[in-house]
Amino acid sequence: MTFKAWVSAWFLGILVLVALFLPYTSLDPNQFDPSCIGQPQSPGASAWLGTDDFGRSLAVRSLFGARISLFVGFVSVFISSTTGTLVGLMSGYAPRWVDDVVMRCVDLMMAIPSIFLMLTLQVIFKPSMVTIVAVIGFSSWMGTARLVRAQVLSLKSQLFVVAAKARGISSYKILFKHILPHTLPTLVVSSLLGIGSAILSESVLSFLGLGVQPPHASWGNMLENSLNYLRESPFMIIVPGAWITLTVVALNFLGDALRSMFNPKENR
Amino acid sequence: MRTSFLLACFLCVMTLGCKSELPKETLVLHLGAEPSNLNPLLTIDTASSSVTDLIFSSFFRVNSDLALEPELLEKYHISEDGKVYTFYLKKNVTFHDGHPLTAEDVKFTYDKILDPKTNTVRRSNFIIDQHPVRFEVVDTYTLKAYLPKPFSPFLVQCNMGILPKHLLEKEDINKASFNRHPIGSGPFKFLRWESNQYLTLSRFDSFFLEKPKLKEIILKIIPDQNTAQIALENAELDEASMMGKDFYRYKNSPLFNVYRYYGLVYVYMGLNLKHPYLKDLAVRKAIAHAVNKKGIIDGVLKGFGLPADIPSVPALWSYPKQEAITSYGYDPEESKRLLTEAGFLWNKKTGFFEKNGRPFEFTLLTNKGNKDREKAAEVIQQYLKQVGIKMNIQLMEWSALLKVLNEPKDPKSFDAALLGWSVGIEPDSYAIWHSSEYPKGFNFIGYQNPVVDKELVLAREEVNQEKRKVHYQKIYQEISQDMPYLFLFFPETLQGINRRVKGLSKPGPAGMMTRIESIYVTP
Amino acid sequence: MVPLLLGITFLSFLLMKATPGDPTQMFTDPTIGAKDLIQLKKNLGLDQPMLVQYLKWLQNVVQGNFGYSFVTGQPVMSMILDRLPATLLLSISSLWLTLIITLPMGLISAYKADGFWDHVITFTSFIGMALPTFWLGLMLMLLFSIGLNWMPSSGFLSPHLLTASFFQKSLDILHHMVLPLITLLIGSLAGLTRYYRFGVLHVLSQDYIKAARARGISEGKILYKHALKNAALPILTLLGLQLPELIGGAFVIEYLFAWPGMGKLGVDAVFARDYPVLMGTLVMSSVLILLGSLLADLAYQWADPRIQS
Repeated sequence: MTFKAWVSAWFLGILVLVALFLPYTSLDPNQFDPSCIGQPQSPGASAWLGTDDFGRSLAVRSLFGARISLFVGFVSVFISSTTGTLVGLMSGYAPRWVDDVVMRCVDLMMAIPSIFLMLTLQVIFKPSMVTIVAVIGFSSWMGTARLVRAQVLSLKSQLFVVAAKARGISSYKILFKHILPHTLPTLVVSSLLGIGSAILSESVLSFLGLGVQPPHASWGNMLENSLNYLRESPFMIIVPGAWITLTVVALNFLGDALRSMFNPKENR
Repeated sequence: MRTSFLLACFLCVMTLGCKSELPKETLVLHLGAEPSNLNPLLTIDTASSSVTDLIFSSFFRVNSDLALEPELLEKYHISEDGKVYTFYLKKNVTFHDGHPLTAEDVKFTYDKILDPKTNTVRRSNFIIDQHPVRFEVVDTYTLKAYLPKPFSPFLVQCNMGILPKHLLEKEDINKASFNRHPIGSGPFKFLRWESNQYLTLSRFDSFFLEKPKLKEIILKIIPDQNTAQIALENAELDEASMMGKDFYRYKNSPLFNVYRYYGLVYVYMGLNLKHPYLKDLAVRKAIAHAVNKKGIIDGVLKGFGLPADIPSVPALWSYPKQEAITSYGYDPEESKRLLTEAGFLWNKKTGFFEKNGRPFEFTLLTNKGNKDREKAAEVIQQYLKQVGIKMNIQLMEWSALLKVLNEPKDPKSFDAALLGWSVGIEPDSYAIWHSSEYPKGFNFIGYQNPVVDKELVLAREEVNQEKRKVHYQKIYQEISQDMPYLFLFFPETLQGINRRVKGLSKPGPAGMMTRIESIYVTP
Repeated sequence: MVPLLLGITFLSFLLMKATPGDPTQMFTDPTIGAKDLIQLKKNLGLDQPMLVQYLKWLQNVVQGNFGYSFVTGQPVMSMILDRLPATLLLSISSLWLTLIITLPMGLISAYKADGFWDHVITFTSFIGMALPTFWLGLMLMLLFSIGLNWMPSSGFLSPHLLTASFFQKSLDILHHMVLPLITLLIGSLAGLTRYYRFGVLHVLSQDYIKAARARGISEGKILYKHALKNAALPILTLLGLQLPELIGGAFVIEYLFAWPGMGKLGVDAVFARDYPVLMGTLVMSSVLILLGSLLADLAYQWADPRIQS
């Protein structure tokens, strides 16, 4: 793996570990003294990344935000990958007319701009961690479904599948024991990329006020919070934006490296 | 080669039309949203009213002292029993198309409001006790209104932009193209509307009060507050409101002046009086003592606000004497004492009060999109945490929030809500405080106080202002004692106006452009 | 195509109806009586069963009538047509510019794989893909509008140029469009350049390229005639897939830069529960998207003559 990919892997790994162990520390990202609310402070000695308009440390909030954003990323991708894979597997393997109907539905959902879908869903269900994850997950499974289906279609006619069918192995077994493993590399790559896109979706939802609720910090709502301080305290908006960018870049580098690993034919 | 072509285009575009200048003899105002339409009967949103106020005239206008000043009216007369209002119109008023404005147009306007086919929500202003107000034309410039019983808010509520009968009588008012191309009798004529960008109005030379000094008014639609402020700084707008934190930075700007004045909106925390804990006055008092209103104003509004204990401001005639108002000051120790007295037990491990083993926990709803309220909620959360009450915040989308609050069921499914009401110059707030307005109505907290009920009705029927003031004093006295709302503050409006704009009125809740025809810009 | 449209509209209708509240609930003036709201509901036909409302809407649409907005009373079609030019201008410019920038960038990147430029382009694409859109937009506004004052911060056309010549107007619109366009571009460019790079690499490693080189065909011709066209095929599909986002999803950009497009119209309609407008916007977006896919298919055919329709 390349240098970039290693650095990304380390960065993500450390981030995940920190995020997991944060609750066991004594850091509190939401504490502030309401009677003397501070001004946003630039990064400096007392606060490594500065403070927000309530005097809360941006560094601490960013780390807790990482916890939430990563959680949202992983879980929603889990949902979208699982749903997409199931749909893709079944649609690709099923008789032609079933495949057609299912793919039409997928096309249908893909034709609605994701923001409308997410927005409407989030309005129906009051914003909370559960709904955010569900909404993002269920708005983005379609791409995975298509990907998996395409793979199933091409694998369907391969010799080992035909042989398995001839031996009388049940369809379910063929799908899950034989075909699925072949789709895993693609899935892993698309999942990693999906996490990045889920984190970005969360930031848009928070921008609209339908994401993580205050006072909890997520990168998305830290960004939304800092809109009014664009001019005088630009670090308030640069810090969360930078975290999002770095994490998504790391995910993309890693995903990219894995993709080349799985496709040695490609001329990297 | 392709890249160099692009680069050339890019440079070209950038150098041309660089810095935009404010046009001469024209005022450029800011609109925070696209108006829904320009028919004063059909709209109540601020954006639409900002425009229709310039295009239409009504009986009165509100001046800087928050008093009603006759605009279309020469004079008016209220009968002894308060049931007959006679309106005498000025005789020199014409619409923008030259047609004279007469009592026929006025009757037409009010009848249209009462017509159930019109999609207006103002109808209830003209229906008193299930009976509609009857309007009658006496002669060309005189109109009488017959009320089923005396109702003092009528004078303010009947203040509507008057529509031209000759242009609308044969149209379906809900769909008429008039709504996008209105003709009124106000100081400015409608010129054009570029959807979601701006509206342009031009001077109406024959405006009946005086010929406006400005040639044109442009209203630019910029939804984002920050973008609007940037536009003000770039001299793309003549006025924009600004946030507290920016006040000191702009105080000495060479380009614009910043004015501050109280608005007529108050922010409050409404407490569901059917909630098992919140229905207890002692608990509500504890919450009030736990919250430092001044702290919220300083922290969230950067000091630009007035703490509130009643739904009124000193600038209004209905504001009571100070002695009548009960104020629960910031006293966290008293708060804890009240809670202990009310039977709550302090749990040292969690830091919260408990009853029957469950912590004192409730959820505050507020709408997304209003930063000040969201921040106020967070501050309140911290204050309550300090005394041992756990409050969760739930941001909701506006419609969804309204649905929860207005659902006609008892008890309602919310604990507390952080919202705002705007108070008009008419203090009648029957719909908010009268017990009959629950669960269907705006008394969504379930306030039931027979003294207040009685006084509300009496105040509506009394025509004499001095006597009304006495009633409202009693009402405010009760409300401030019972604390059905935790009244928080009246935020100040901070407005930046380009120095070239002259003829402004003194800063006050009515705004600074109450006499738009006297405003002009120096080149 | 038609069943797809029907499906989209029905799904959207269902979703919309599932959202709590309705347009009459937007009014919270304490002087408004409950009776008025009920009357309003009746006037707007909101008290009828869901299916009836949907069928009524469908019936009108087939006759070309998209109804009237609940909020403004304006015909929905004219509201959409008002906003269509701004959206099309931004999305078509973005698509076109993406294409003409991606192709050379991807080519260079792949051709001189692992070279200096490749690293630069790759690195910047990764960053571009990771940037949150509105963050980027704000940064650009900060830099170019507030800092350097090169570009107006928002809007579409300066009002004082309403009566100016077509040329002056166009220039002014272009001027306003620069920042939103760059914001849009960076996101889509980044992703596409990566894919294109892969595609070109893949093509260049094919045997027929080696054969062409052996035959002495110039590098330039190889690049243009073979690499570019063949690698462009999947890009066309990808561009087609980006259409829903461009047309309805540029909402954030439209909001930030006060660009009068359809994205914001749709989102505002969701918040105001303005069903006719929302349905109209969705139908329009879907039609545009389907048109776009059709064009992409045609372009595919042009690029690869082996493909039959």
